[in-house]
Amino acid sequence: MAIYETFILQDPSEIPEGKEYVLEIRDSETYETRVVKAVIDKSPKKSIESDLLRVRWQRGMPLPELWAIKIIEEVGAVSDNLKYTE
Amino acid sequence: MPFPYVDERVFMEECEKEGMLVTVKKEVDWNLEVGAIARRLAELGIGRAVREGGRPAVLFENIRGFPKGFRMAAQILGGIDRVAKVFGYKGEDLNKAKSDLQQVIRDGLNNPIKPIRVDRKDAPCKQNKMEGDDVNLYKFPAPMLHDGDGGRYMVTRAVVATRDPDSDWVNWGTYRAMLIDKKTLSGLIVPGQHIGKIYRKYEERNEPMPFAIAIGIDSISFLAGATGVPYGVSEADVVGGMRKKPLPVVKCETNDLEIPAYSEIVIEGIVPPGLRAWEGPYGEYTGYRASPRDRRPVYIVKAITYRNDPILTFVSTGVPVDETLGNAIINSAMAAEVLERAGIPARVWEQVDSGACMFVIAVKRPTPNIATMIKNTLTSQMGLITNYTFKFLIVNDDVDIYDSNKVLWAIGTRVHPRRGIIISDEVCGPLTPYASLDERLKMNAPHVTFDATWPLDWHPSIAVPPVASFKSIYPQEIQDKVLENWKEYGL
Repeated sequence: MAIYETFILQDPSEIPEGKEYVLEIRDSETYETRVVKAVIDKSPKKSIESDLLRVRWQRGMPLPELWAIKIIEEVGAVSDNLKYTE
Repeated sequence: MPFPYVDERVFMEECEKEGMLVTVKKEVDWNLEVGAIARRLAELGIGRAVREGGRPAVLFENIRGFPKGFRMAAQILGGIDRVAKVFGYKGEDLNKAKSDLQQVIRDGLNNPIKPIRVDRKDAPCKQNKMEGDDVNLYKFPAPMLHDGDGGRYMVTRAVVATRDPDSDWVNWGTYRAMLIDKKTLSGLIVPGQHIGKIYRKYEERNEPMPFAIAIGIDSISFLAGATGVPYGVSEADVVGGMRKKPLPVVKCETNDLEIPAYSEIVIEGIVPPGLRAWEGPYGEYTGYRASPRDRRPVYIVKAITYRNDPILTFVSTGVPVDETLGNAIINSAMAAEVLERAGIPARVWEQVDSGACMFVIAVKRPTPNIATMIKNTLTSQMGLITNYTFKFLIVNDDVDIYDSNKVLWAIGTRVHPRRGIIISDEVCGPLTPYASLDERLKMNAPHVTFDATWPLDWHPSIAVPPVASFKSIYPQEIQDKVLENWKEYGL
């Protein structure tokens, strides 16, 4: 079971629960960030299908509880999603 | 003495010979461990020389998950002994170096020397190269410095080179940047900073801004980049002035920028106009993780060159004092220069114990409203620096501005709560800890000036309280007698 991380700015409700949502997550080992489509469960029950998500406030402090994240689709690297072409 | 040092490697070798640097052979982790080690060294050393209880610089030779030869170094200028050494200071009294070095720096500022270009084949930073699809920032042990930072801050002790599109001016500045993925970084580029002004010009033209980030550069180049060299002045020329010898530079692979030829790692590419990605938070030199996470400019990497056995230098910034000591000396020198040109001779110290957030200025000849005059002079002439150094304490010339205890004593005893505290609305940086979140995002917050000078209309013999110190309140013969008999007192 992998652990990922993401940030919120003001309020945990910024990330919707129980429906598909595109967000940036980072690997908790390498910190490489990527974009995924995922479903979030803020009261995670033990599920072998979900990974864990550590949510941090914008100053870096973590919320006390880990959430569950089920990745539906890889959207790509952040740089692939920046919509810049030379 | 090999001043000026050819490169940071030679400087570090010399430091190690003199007990000012320790090489750590035990395996360490780029993920928080090296940051924690460097942070603890900074907090134990608090800027002191090793011989006075300070802590050494550190070179890590064995990084988890990286091949032999990939190294990291920190706290290189974390003590006054190394700061003095890097400028070739020969004095024995290292506390005096804080003031003596300011003159060395002012001489360098006023007598710049252009860099000398070397061929690519002779530039150590060109020994290895990755380009295009082969670019991979994760090949280097970019550190995760503090738990909860926005990312791995590969760029903390480096200069970012950019060229003004309207002139030949090349700016070298120290601007933090973190890895997003293997070919992308995001960085803090503040509009008021030189890079921010340059980047805005490119954005107005809808053109990408070429950049080069040089990591593991010589410490004088790092200090020049991290301080407020005036707008339009190339740091490379000032570095030459401070070295008293031209700095060898080399042209980049993918653009015409020039960077120190002895850099350890050089990252080249473009910052596209209008493009933003998440950056921060990051534990900064003020001692706080204050700047809000925000959408900030993006560095797209096109090429990386690096030396054999590269050394990734970093600063694990936080509660002072870390490498802000050297910056404080340069900023103080510049402020003293600005004041002198304005006809205000003064001694200046950017108080590092305050998080480098307060200038302490001792005036030789106070005039009416001197505190406001000094604050206005510095904020207008050194705007960039005063975005980050947002408190000013003006004292009479009898206060030892380099002694934090004496500075606190002056604040406690000489600042009148009504007439001695002057608040003004100014531009601030996003790192300003006391500013509200909104003020930090808008970069507008009050500054404060403490006027600790005695009022000019106070009669010196009647109204100004005499200082009650050993040196000032006893007749000379009593002082001499006490000093002469000190050992006989058994003290």
